[in-house]
Amino acid sequence: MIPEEKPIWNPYVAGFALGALLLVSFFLTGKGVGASGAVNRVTAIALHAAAPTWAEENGSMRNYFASPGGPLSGWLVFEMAGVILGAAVAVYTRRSFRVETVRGPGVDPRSRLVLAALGGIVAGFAAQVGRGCTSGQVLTGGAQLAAGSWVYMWAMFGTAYLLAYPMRGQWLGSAPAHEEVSR
Amino acid sequence: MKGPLLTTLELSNATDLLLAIPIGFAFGFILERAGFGRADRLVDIFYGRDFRVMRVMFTAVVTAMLGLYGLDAAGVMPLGDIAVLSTYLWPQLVAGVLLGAGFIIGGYCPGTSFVAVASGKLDALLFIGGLFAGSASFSIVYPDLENWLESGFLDRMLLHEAFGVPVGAAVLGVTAFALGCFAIVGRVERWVRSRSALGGGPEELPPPVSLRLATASLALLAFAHLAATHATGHVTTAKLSEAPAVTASASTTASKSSTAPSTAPTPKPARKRLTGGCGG
Repeated sequence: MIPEEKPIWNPYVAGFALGALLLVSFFLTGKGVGASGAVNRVTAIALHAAAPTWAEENGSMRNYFASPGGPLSGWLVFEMAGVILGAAVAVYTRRSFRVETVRGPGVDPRSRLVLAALGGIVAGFAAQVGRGCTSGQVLTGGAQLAAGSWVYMWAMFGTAYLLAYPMRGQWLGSAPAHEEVSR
Repeated sequence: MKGPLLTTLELSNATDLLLAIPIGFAFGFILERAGFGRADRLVDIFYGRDFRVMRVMFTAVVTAMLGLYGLDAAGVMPLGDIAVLSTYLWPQLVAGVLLGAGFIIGGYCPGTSFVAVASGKLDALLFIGGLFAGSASFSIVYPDLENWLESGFLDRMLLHEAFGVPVGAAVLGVTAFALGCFAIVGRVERWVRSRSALGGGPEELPPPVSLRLATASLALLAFAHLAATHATGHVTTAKLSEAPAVTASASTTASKSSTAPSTAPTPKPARKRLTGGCGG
């Protein structure tokens, strides 16, 4: 029998917690949070294994190999290790672990997985072009009121709204998440 | 005590890396509790059914913004001393467009996909596979993009500088915009659901009274300090006031472990420099 899933937080409470955490991170380390930087550092290791000289000379990875600890010694690598750990503890304590493919009823699991991978490729490329993703640019840069981060934010949400209609086949018709939410 | 503690207490690079783990832990935990580990819930905002993502994100941005600008105005932590993101207008515009596309196609953004995979979501696993492939493709085409990636460089520009308004006006504007959105989206949700055959969905939740009090006090403190500094003609800027950086490296670790070469004399002992630790 699958144990009952516990409710998620009130969105404003979650937002306040997220903002407070970001502030603590700035006060302690002078940095905000991020995600995609860690992906690029791990990718660099794989690329280095395939073509060492090319990777060490590549402008987007040079600095990783020049630093004493190598690509994995980046702040965001440690931070992302923490993210995975924190999410795992949150999943365990909320009893929300389910092996499943999240999808609308109008799409078969295989197409959904192909679209997920495709979206991941586009997002992975985009995060490197923009020097950050939703975590590093929209959340961290947004809170700093960094001008470019606000351009990024509006471009991102604007495009997603524009593409929501052509992409409706994948998402619409799915029953909205029904979990109860704690007040 | 002045912040950030990493520079004021001259903490080591190893301490910095160790601090990243509990900060990440809390980040991952909160994202999961926010409900960001499911693609269907994340994209609901784009179909007007549930604006949870907007409520969480705007509350987080406003909370942290009030704190950052309040601390800057109070002189506790000047914005110039933290890793404020530099603006590269054109790359950021294009990246925003692409990331928005990746979001609605894939159902996640990079951070949330890792949270989702922790709860067993197979689509998130494929999304992460895509992230690595996308990141690798970027490195492969990097030499062709290198020059363009620096285009539209505006240094560490803040919103109030971009619009030429007092800093308090920008902070107030963003706060008011977020509150306005919160007031409207509940109506949009009800309208969309009334037209949808499926209906249902989570009920709109108001912020608890304790949270309203906490954010109102934070706002009051921040605006009091902003008003006080405005009266004295204090200029809020994220521009670095010190001598040119010894190492202009994109890598946080590389720049912090740097030793000043003798060819680049600095007028005062080189402070540890916080370059953007976020993102690529």
